[in-house]
Amino acid sequence: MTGPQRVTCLVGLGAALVLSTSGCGDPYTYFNVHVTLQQSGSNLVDNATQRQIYSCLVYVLADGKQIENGTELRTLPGPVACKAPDTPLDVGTMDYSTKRSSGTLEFIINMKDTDGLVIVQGSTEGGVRSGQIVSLDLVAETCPKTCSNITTCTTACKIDTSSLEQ
Amino acid sequence: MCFGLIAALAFATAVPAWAQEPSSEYVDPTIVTEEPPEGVKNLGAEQAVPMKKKREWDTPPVYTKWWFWATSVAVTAAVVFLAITPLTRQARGCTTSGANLIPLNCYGDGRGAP
Repeated sequence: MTGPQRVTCLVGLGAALVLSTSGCGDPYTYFNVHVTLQQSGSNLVDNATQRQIYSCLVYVLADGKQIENGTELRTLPGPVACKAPDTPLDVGTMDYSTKRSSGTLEFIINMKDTDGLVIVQGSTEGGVRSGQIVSLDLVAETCPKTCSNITTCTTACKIDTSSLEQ
Repeated sequence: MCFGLIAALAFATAVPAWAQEPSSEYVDPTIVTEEPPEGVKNLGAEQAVPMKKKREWDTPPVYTKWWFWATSVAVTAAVVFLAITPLTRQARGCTTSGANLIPLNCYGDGRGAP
């Protein structure tokens, strides 16, 4: 076999290998994020705070960079998961897929009151593992609240999400 | 007058025999000779079969190589395969609808909006 024939054979075998393997394997990583409200410790979500939760927004960051805008948390098939005064302690489990082959995904949840103030926040993160399901627990805690008077309050959550896209 | 005009035209267009190029000796085609007259095909004679000339190239064309056709078949198969196979594979369905789980948003790459 001459040189060009060898090269042609190698190219053909390589193409056949690529074609045969391109349809194999699931390229996605599936994150199952179980969202609950903290029920112990200093930052527990007490009953009063729980009743103030009006909406829940989830953000997704990949290696510190936001890849999903703030998304209202909903229970399938559609109703919002958080609504005052009936937000459950066990909010539910969301399923997020990514085609990334490496890195770390961080999930942040902001729970706001009717004034739009973030009163409960939680986050969790997990590494990408293609073709596998990564189960994570996200426990949301109460953000320390400071009120200068009855109507003007601020909270100091662990994660500053003011720069994230809504 | 008419006759004179016709005669004048006839003399003007006719080429005299002495002005023509010299031709070969006239052969009466009705006289049978051993050799057929020039331009007459002798159907009775054995026809010579032309020899089939074998092709020869300084550089043989690529289509004479087996690997050319093998590559052509491989490329054609690859194109057909890619045409019928979707390039973007969808993510699988949601997995949070099991027992004791409250299913929430199901979205991400390879899926639709949450």
